[in-house]
Amino acid sequence: MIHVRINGKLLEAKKGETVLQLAQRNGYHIPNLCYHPSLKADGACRMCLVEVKGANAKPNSLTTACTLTVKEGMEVLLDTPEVSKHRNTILEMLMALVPDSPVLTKMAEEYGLKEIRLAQGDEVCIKCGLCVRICDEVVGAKALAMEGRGTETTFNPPFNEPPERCVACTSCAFICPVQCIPVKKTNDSITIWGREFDRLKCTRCGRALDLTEEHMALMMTRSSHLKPEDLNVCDVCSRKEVLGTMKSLVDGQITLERVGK
Amino acid sequence: MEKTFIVIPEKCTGCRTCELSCAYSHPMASGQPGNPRIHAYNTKPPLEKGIQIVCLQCDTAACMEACPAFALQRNLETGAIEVHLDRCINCHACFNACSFGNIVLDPNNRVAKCDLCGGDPKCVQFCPTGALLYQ
Ligand code: SF4
Ligand code: SF4
Ligand code: SF4
Ligand code: SF4
Ligand code: FES
Repeated sequence: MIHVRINGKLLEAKKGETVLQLAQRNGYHIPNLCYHPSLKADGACRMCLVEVKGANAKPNSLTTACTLTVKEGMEVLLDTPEVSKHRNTILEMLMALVPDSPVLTKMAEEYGLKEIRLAQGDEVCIKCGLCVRICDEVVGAKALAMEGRGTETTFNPPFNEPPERCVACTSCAFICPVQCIPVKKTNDSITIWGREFDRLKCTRCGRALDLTEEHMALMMTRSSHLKPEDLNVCDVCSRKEVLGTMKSLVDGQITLERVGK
Repeated sequence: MEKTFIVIPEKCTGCRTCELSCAYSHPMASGQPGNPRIHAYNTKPPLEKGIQIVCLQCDTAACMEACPAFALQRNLETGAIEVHLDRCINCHACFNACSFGNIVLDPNNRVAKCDLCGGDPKCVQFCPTGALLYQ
């Protein structure tokens, strides 16, 4: 066990975990935008600043909690004046870039950031790169790419062509910390990044599935056990099939009329 | 894994008490009950019977193989495959992959499945006829 103090309280840390993980595990809240547990943290947004002492840290050193691995004897302070000053500067810059985000506005209220002194842009995306990384490293579709650096960063998509390799799994929209990737679902289609995909229909009952042909193909690359004839059936019809195999027990006396599904 | 979850359809009356106890013991982040991860189906009268469908915690689990985020992990103590919502990216691959319809969507559209209540299944406790056992 590694011993780390957060705000003076002695905590037992697991080897290899980050200060953000340790803090979250123990009920401390550290604001963060670009951290997702399924990805290796890369410290892009800098909102998770903390002050570190001990364990060879430089005096008053500020660092990002999501990338800081715990060390024996480390002392971490979460809300020092120094932390909040720098964090608010970062937040102010983000809000100058992206003025109308409800997520950022709520953070500003929470951390007492009152005015934005910089020229305001009209972006919706904070350029954290999380969507690109989720699609690349987790989903495996590799549909998105980042171009340029800093505030000049653009995404390809949304600003260029609709993404050819996108499968409409909508994970990027789900994890986007400022929820700026629009998804439109109708009974027949899913539209994301400006591209419309057909939804597959259950081969038994015809109900629209939360699945596209493209997503199904990508899923099948993950395991040879995943077959179209199984993936193409909705959850209700899947259960009906199980009931069918148990039918001898009640000899055809099953009714599937239920409230809902 | 010492205990086994046993389903006895012959004793099931289709009363769906198991579903209720499941929904109430798995609230969503909002505090509202989730959707049940076990399903009990009624038979047609006059035969007052039911059949329960619940996750088999498959050895080779399609849900787990489909998940790109390692958000489904087996709890080695109970043998249950558990959803780690913090890792989940809500792609619904697991929901589509289970051939038995045992991944459910909560009212907030997040995936859920039977986790054997961490080793103390509530449906087993509440089933009035002893049609579910964990022993
Ligand atoms: S919806 Fe498309 S772009 Fe987004 S993560 Fe899925 S495959 Fe990638
Ligand atoms: S679209 Fe969302 S996830 Fe992608 S870089 Fe912008 S803010 Fe980050
Ligand atoms: S959810 Fe389905 S695939 Fe996954 S373990 Fe349960 S029965 Fe098997
Ligand atoms: S919905 Fe979540 S748990 Fe299910 S496959 Fe996708 S990431 Fe994994
Ligand atoms: S969450 Fe740590 S830098 Fe973004």
